Amino acid sequence: MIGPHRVNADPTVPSIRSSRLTRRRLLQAGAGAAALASGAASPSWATARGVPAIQGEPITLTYWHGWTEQWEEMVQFVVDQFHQQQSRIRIEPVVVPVGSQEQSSEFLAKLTAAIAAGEPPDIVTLFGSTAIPTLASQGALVPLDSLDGADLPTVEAWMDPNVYRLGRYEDHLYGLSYWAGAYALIYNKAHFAEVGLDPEVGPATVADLDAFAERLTVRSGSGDISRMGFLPSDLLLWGTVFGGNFYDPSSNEVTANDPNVVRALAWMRSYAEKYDAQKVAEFNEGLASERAANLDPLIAGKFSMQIQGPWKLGDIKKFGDPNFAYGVVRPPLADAEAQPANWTWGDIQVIPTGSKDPAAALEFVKFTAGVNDPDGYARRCTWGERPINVPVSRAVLEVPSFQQVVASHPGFDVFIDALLNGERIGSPPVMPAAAFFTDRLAAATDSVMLLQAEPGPALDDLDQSVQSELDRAR
Amino acid sequence: MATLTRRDGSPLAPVGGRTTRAATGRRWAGSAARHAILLACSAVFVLPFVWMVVTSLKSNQQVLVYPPEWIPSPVRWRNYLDAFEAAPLLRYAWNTTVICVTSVVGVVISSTVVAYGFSRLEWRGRDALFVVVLASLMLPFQVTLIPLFIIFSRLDWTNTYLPLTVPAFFGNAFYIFLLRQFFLRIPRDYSDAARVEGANELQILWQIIVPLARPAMITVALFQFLFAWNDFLGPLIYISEESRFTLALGLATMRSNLGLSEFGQIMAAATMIVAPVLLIFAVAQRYFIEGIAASGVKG
Repeated sequence: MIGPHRVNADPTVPSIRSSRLTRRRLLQAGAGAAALASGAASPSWATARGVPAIQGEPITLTYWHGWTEQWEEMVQFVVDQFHQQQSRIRIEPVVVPVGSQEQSSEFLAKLTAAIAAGEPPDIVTLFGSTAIPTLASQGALVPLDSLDGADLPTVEAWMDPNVYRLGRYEDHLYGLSYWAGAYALIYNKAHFAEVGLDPEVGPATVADLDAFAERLTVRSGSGDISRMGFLPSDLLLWGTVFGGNFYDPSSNEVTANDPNVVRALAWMRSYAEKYDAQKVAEFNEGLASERAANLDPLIAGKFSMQIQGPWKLGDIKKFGDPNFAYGVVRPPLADAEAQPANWTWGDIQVIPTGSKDPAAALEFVKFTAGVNDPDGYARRCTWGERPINVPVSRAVLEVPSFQQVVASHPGFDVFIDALLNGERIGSPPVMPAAAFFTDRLAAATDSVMLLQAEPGPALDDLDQSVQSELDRAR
Repeated sequence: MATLTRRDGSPLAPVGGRTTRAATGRRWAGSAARHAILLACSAVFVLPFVWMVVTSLKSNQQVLVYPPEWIPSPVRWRNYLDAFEAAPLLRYAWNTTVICVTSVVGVVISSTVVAYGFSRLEWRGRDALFVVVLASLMLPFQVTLIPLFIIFSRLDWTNTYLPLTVPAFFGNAFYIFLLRQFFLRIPRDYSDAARVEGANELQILWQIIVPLARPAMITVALFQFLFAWNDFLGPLIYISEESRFTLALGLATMRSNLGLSEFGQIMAAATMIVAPVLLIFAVAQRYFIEGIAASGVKG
């Protein structure tokens, strides 16, 4: 639930500017349009705003984020903690209610317009790291390593290496993640018991997963699926689990047609073949139309096993039947010999070009990542005393308040272990065409799962189109 | 009833009565079939609204029950109160109303004047300029977004409602097109007669054209109202202060982007947001349909 509307009473906050239209402003607008027209071909965003504050002078920074509903309160909690820790830098959070990562293009539209107009926010949270290479290559982000007081060795030592790299692009660090996404498989113990599976033993390998799914799936007399044992959907995760790579940064080559990724997609397609692609599509459509966007098929018992993030454990506690019994296991291995694998992403704090005091902004960015503050960070990343995502640092695992949250939410430890001790951790390709790549990958996966395309050719096509987009962007 | 006779004078069976009954039966069957089809089609559109209202009265647990339950049990009216506590909906409603009313007034006045110039006045380059106006319809918002933002930023208009309302006073290509089509159907003799009587163009527009074009103008007003009421991207780009949010933005702040939302509350808020639109549409639908039919334009 969102708290009461907050009015900023800080006298250092600039008041909303006058909206009076004067001839001078009209002329300025005309000049601005002309400048834009003449500089349209230039990729540079650099339009410095104001004069950087003198070291030590009180300053108010505007912070854009997309966290809505109860998470807006979490942001305020983080900001309040930051204010308690120091008094010089005041943070004014501004919610940009884009809702989800899928809508991040709207968030980016607002952000790029503001940067181009020379009135950017001072700090921004990007959902996911895919936009960083694009923005960084256009000069729209401040490299953190260029700032005084960055002290990157300390930051690097604090953060898990797989999470730290989410903010990197071409030898520079552009952002720090607030926390880290991780996947695990959550299963319904009652369904396991119902079909004679041991409720305490989840699938360890993909072969187990296939066999369990078959037993757990329930069809009606007409062949319609009323309960799905399991349905793979995320090729980024499964491609990594099968040992594949999507991009080779050393040669700047898209490698989505890596044989292991093809193998993963072929395995995903086997579900469409086994359970009838049409019936699977109808099952999915049925879920969507019945419950609109907020359907939770796992809690509703429509799926027996699902790949999910740690936040689902909090949802089960809050929204699920109190008797809902679940188990959590790491994503099953491709085979018994394979390395444990996972996929991570982050919500990353960056500093846009034109931020009025990047050094002060950096202080807040480092604070959100909890650098060398395990106790405070433990409270922030488990806001509401519930699992949300995995902390960015192992140091937090020793904090009693964090251990309490782990103990009260069975299965949270599996997510933490899967990410921090995983041997192969994939993350979004660090390239300017990353957003285009994820869109195309989702489209290719859909067409294969509808049996409209074969995995190999679909990924070959994807490789070509993303590579040409990448070459253009570079 | 008149009866027909054979050549021999014997009366024919009152075939007229049977034919009438058969025709009535056929008409009834046809009408029933038409209504059945219309009811089925309307159900497709109405069901999401019904589902929205029903869900707005459910608890979180009942929202997630499978198979879905249509009847809320218990009926949870509290979702409506909770929605007001979750977000300042009245303030958002006021903000949205200010934008809607201002932009509707602006669009109706400006588009009417411009459409009059494109349809009732003869001047050199008129048709070429009209094509240019129509061509501006092809530009998606994303293309003009950054240049417009820079202009409004230079004017110091960002984080105000001015970028969302002032452009309405400079015409809208689609509405100009719609009104022009309607104005073209009004006989020129009316204007000529008024001119002979000494009326100037503004008098002709106000006293002759506007009263005749009322359905089209109401259609324009409704289109603009619906657009402004539901617009998400415009306010998202230009408004950065929560107290200035519109209903569309406010509703987005109620939806959780991590895990499940308080779905009952969201649906309660959505019901309250949609209700005024439905009400206005119900009141004005006669003009709306008339305007669309007369101008030959579908939205």
